[in-house]
Amino acid sequence: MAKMDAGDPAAGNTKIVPPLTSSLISLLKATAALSIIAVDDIMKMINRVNSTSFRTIELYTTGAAIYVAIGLSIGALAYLLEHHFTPKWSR
Amino acid sequence: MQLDFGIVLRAWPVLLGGFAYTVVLSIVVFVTGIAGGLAVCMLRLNQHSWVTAIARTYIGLFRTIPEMVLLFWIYYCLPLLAGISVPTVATGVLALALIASAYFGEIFRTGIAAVPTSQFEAGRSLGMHRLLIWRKIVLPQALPIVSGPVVNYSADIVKNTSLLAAIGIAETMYRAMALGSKSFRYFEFVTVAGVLYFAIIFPLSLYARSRGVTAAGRRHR
Repeated sequence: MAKMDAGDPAAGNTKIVPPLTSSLISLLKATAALSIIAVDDIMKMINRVNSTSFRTIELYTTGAAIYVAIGLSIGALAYLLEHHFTPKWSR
Repeated sequence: MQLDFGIVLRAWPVLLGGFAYTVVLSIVVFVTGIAGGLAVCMLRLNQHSWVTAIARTYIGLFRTIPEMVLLFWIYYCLPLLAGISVPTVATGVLALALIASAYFGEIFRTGIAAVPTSQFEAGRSLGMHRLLIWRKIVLPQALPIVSGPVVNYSADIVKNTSLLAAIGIAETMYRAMALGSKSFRYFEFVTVAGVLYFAIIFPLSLYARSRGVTAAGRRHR
């Protein structure tokens, strides 16, 4: 994709990236609550494995690390995207 | 399908008790979150880069980790790690307060960053003491900026307290589900619980909107 030129009104696209990113991360966080209604997401699987193995600390720490890894990856991708759309003159 | 909201009326004291618990929990999380947020903000604005790095890591971590995950992590792991029994309410409040501290810390930091550096310099050139600059120049300008986002996140705190039902804290959502399972009238109880949450959250978001916070949680003024 070609980079935006100086003065291109579409360069304003970069403004939607940060709020979109925080909404996406909020959405990711909200999915963890689905485990309550027995959706088999990471959180539910961890609850299940925990109820038979009782490796509580290992399981829940890994679960937290998975969510943090996904969240930080979204953040990093958004940073690259924002950088990509920001015209050179305003860097 | 026949609806019978009379059953809600009969169970009203129980539901209202849960609502009062929700309000109390929200206030406790809000107050501890504000205190924690001030601490995080002070660390974040510290001169030493390693202190700043700790605050940045804290903010990054606790703004990313889902409330549900931290809730379960503290609920299950803290008693194991500490080797003591911790009251369920304490684990719940701690989890939400840790996350609230990260959000409030970042809100405070952006509020203070929005006050131009020249304001500090002007104060110093008048020979004002650092504390006096903060009290008379920086904070009076930062507080109006911060009030919208703070109230906006407070609405999120109220929403987050409903997650505490998952670890068995008898607030609004827990009681609505318990009453529902007893009478199989989930529709009525959960609807009323939703209305009760709306009654607190909607005025908060109206205020936040009047202070320039958009639906995406950003200030546009």
